[in-house]
Amino acid sequence: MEILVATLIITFFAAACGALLGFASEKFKIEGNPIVEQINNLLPQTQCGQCGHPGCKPYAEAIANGEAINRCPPGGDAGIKALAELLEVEVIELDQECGEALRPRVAIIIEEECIGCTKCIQACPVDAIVGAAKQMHTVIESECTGCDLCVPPCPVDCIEMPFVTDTPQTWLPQNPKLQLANARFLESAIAIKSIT
Amino acid sequence: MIKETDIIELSKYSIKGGIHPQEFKLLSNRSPIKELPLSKKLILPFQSDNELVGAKKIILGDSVQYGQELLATRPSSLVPRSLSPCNAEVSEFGFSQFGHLSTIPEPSITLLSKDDDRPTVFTPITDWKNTKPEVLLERVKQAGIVGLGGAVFPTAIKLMKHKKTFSDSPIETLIINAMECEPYITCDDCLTKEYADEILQGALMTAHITGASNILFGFEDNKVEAITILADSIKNLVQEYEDLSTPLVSIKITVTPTKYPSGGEKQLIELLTGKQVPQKQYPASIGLVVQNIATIFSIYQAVYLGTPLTHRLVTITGDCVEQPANYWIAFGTPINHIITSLSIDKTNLKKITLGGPMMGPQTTDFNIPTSAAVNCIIFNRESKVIAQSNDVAFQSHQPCIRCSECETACPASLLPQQLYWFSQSEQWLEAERYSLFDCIECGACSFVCPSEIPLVEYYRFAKLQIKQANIKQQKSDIAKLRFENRERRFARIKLERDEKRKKTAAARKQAAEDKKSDPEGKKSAIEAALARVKKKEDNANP
Repeated sequence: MEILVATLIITFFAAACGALLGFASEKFKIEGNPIVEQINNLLPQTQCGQCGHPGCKPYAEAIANGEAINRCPPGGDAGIKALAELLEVEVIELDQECGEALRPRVAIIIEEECIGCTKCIQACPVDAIVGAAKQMHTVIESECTGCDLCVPPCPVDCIEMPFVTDTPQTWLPQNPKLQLANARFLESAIAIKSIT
Repeated sequence: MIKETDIIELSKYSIKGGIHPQEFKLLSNRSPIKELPLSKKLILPFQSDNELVGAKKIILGDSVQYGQELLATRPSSLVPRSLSPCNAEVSEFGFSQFGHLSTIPEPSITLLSKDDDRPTVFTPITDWKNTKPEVLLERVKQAGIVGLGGAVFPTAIKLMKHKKTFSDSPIETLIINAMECEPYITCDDCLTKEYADEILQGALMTAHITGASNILFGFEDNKVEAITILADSIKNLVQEYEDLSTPLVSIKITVTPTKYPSGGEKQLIELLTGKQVPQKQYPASIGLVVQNIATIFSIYQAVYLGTPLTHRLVTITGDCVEQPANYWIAFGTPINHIITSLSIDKTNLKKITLGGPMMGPQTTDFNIPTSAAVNCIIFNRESKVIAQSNDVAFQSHQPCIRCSECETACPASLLPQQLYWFSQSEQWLEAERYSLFDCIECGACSFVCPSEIPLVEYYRFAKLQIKQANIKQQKSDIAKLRFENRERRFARIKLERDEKRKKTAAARKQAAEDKKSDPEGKKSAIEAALARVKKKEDNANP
């Protein structure tokens, strides 16, 4: 008898807890995969496809499913470091197959040569090119991510991808620690020279 | 020593930290103010708003008048109006150094001066007491007045902002900053000594614009002469108003002990009122507005005399200068011109400091022009540098020994050694958590550091990195949004096209079926005729 009561009580509790959990999982359901969103926020959003995926979101999904985190050249080492911190994995070097980490670039259309074919407009992943059929096109430089995707479709090769030039507003100083290392190196070199 | 009177009072409050560097102020504050002869060449920055890139009002070879506007600016722009300091000819649009640490050349306008004839540019507003504050504010804006304490923030925006944004907490007190706590600099001191009455008028005008009912002058106790002269002027003014029996706002001078950096805005407020400005807020949120004394003088000039801000008082000092003094210098005057016209000994001169020795950047480029931000130029011999914080060539330093001297010296109540640790190891989140952005870069920590660590350089490095990372994040957020919008648009277009295709297919199918059941269309014709008859009948007997 006692055994029966105990079994019934445990069964009842188990059922109650199960029902509660089932209810909670329905009630507080999260739309989409939150880790994908977090990864996506760390990617540079150039939508360049150098990782082999059609955009940053698909690559974020792939990373969530176990793909390597070193396939994003625009993100560079800083991007890999941030992803490694989020996913708690080792920092690895950038996969050279995907391309090199270059300084940011911007697309510029040589407007005299543009024939107005709209092919680059269709290729631009962030709608940063304005123009219409048989009208001159131009790039909204502030919106351009420098992804390079507009260059191959252009039939007259009138798109250039120069590096963004540093201005005093975008300039970044070197870590003074490195300057210190340099200063100490020079000092020691002088010291060695004076001994020999 | 200074005695307390009903006008002068000694500060009852104090600030944390601070240092007492050697002053070197006697070098330049005993000679009268002089005027520097106009330079043949003037280099002005080609600054403009993002939305008005290249919106210049002049072309190459144009003749410009004194006070003429060179570049277009939006009314609410943070970029000050660019005005010609003399009658000149536009000779070049190019790139020049303006003393930025990056040494990246910036767009510039070069003027060749013709003569130094300075007629009145704006109509003087002599009866300013009965003029609307808006009109005076417009004049402040027109005259291109910026804060002359070093931050060059457009004064009109500062004064206007207080009226609009904080209408529920009105400005009660106008604080006038005449602390001048950095060593060597004496321009505010000398200005007060020679133009005390004018400064008082300017202060009354500014109080009229902001609606402040108190004016507080903040002085360090090393400017005895200036304080006495200003106190006499205030006494006369009060007497004058009493004779005319017109009300006058309360005007006081508060004298504080000499200590660096008591001239920092937040430090000054604490010294004078005992209040602390909350983190990430402005003085206006506690009913205060702070203006530099030189800015107050230029407001007087703009309103009462109709003069635009094209010149400022600059302390020319240092041991290479034969007669250190304060000079009126036109904005854009290259430093080389100062060296030649004052016959400064260049033999031992390797680098100069623009501003005070604690915060001013040092440069080896003598072609850079002066601007509203440069209140002092120090021409010192190589060996004589008192603070290393802004050295051009990086000096080797010893490791941090955690002595916490810097913590004692920090006037912003920060932990400089922790900030140094997080900055050099690039831990931005931690640095921000320790309030890196509350650092005022005063250099007190570097000054006391026994390991001679250029701490401010590390903080500046960290601040710039964090700022750039934030800008990058914003850009990538925008790119993400634009990409997602595009994807959504494509999905919508595809959906619409599919639906249309489905509709046409269904219509086609329907037509084919109709044809099958009724090959010649007789049935449908009969049906249509019957429907017409029925409708007619319905209309006839409703």
